[in-house]
Amino acid sequence: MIPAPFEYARAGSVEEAISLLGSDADAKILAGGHSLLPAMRLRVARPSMLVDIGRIADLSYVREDGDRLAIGALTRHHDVANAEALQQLCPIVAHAAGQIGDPQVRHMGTIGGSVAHGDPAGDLPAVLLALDAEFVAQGPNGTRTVAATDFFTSLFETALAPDEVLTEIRIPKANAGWSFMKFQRRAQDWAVVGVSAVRANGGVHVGLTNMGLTPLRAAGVEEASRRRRGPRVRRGTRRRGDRAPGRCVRVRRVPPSAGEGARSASARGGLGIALLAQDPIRYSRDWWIEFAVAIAISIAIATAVSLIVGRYVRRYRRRTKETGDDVEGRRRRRLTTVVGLAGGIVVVIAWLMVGLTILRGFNVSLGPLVVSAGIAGVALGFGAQTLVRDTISGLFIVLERQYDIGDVVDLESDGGVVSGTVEALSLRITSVRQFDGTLSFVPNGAVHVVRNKTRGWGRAIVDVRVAVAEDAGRVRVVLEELLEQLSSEEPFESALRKNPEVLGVVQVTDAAQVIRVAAETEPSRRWEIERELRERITARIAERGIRVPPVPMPQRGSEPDA
Amino acid sequence: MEGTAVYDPPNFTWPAGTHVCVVEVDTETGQTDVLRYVAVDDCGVVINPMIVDGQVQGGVAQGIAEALYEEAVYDESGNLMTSSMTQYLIPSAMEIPDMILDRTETPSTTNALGVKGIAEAGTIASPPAVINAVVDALSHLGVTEMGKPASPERVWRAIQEAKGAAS
Repeated sequence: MIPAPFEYARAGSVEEAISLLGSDADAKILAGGHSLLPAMRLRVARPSMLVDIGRIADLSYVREDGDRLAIGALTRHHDVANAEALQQLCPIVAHAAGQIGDPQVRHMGTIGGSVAHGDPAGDLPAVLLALDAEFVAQGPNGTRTVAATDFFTSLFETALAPDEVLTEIRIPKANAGWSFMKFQRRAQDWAVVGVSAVRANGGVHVGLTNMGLTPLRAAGVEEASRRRRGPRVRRGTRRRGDRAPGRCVRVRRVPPSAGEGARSASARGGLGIALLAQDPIRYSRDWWIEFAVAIAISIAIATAVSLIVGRYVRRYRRRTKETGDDVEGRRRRRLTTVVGLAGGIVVVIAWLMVGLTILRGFNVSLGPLVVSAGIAGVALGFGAQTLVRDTISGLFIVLERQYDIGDVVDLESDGGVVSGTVEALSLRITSVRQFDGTLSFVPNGAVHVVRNKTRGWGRAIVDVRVAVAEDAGRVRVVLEELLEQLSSEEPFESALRKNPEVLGVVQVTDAAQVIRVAAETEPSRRWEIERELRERITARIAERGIRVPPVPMPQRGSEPDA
Repeated sequence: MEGTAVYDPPNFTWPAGTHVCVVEVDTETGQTDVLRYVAVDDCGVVINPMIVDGQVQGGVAQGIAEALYEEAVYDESGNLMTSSMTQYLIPSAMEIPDMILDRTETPSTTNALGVKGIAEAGTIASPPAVINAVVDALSHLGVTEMGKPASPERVWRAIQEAKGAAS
């Protein structure tokens, strides 16, 4: 409880204080001393020199300055609390100053000391942050103004240089509505957490005490308050137990913070009334364990989701292989397509959640991230264009049922025509298995025309070439007779939708006339029927002695003369 | 020459009393406020009422501290984490309510003055009074027991557990 040895010097003016600070790199400013001296007694702080500015009288004032209020850095909390200008024009500052510590502390402690100390548990820093205050610092090279948002850099660290003295705090007039709440175990304790809210700029500014390494702004709450137009902030303070004002913003979750922060947060209606069920002592050590557990759980869930989805999708695919062309088969193929697609989306979302959990665990605020993603999105837009195009095309392919898994298709794409059976369909690409086994991956966005050969019905077409001299009528009779017989035989009976018919002569050349036979079939069996028909017709023509066109004579000259 | 004399009172004295505590518990923060505290004690014949009242008030304050504030917390390695007055949480006058004190006077039959002890009456009676009041305040949520001290954290967790069990 006895501090380490130190030098002591009393400064009569700010300039003298600055030069004293410049003479010793480890010098610290002593103002009210109610934070610094306890820290020195615990030897947490060991400055080699104390520069006492406590008696510089002209740094203690509160005055109106145009549309702002200026408070001298050495104004004691008691004087801040009782300054009429503040009570009238910025009551939250006066009120918060009146809540600091106990009367002894308030008569010694100064607003400048509270700010420069950079303690996130202090009452005033979060209030000033919510107010968008400005801090005037004087150094060897003159004065500069630092915005509150730039001022608090880390735990007990501020933007002040070692040889700078904080001289003035400038705040806007803000008496349109405010609230200041802190949760503490005993009246004179540091706040476990505190919340200050000020109505400003059509919304509400919210400052958080002791919820991170620095005082924080509750950006999410502020955003929510802007969206609900004109939320009511109650004038004055609310006692614990008061009912929440009518319209309110609810704070559902408060981010975990390093150190002795709040984690399990509970919220109550009303602006700035996020009170936390929190004990300062016992949460400090193991927040990261819970973080690790949260990540592990989210990864486990995502893995489980992936596995389960993968299993279902594979099961559906397997079943699809044995499906026929009946309504049931088509229904099942459709189901497989949709299940595969939905499964893919679910898996992507599950892993996205893991990413978000990790980000949140590291206290990365998602709001700014989304904004920067928007900017990066513009930059990446050209690169991601095809991705977006593929995805949207994929969506329409499924919605419009252009093809399902198991369908036989020609896909006319940028790279030519890809023909085969659709094996898989994700949002981005379609995998098509060609007849020879080649698996082609076609980006959905690159597909211009889809020719689906397995939709509704197919038509088997066989052209029969007979000699020109042959009587077409006779051939027709022979063919019709054959077709009549075939239609009750397998495989025709199950594959044909209508009796096949002889269309007639479709072409006549020097040597041959072409007679076309057509049969409407189940969509996926037309090729089988065509092959079968050719075989039967060829056999029947030969059997009936129907003449076929002569084999073209070899070109004269290509053979030696006899 | 030697002489020994012993005074052995025929029985101890038996002070008695009743303490009633009214608390308000914020179910969202777990914060407990003592709203009223009534203590009626019987310490036999009262010689100096101011000393008797002071004993009861001090005892009740210590009991409320035990019920709501003071705790020796150790971390996993056995370090005492509540080693200073800022952490051990001895309540101040701000946390202790005004008490309503009254008494009955039933003279003790075991001594000539008719007096009984009063020093520990407040300390012994107040922790169960406060803790039972907290449990009673939360009974509609299904909370049936409460450890000491009923810190905001412990109360909040008990509420969450009860809610979890109920749903």
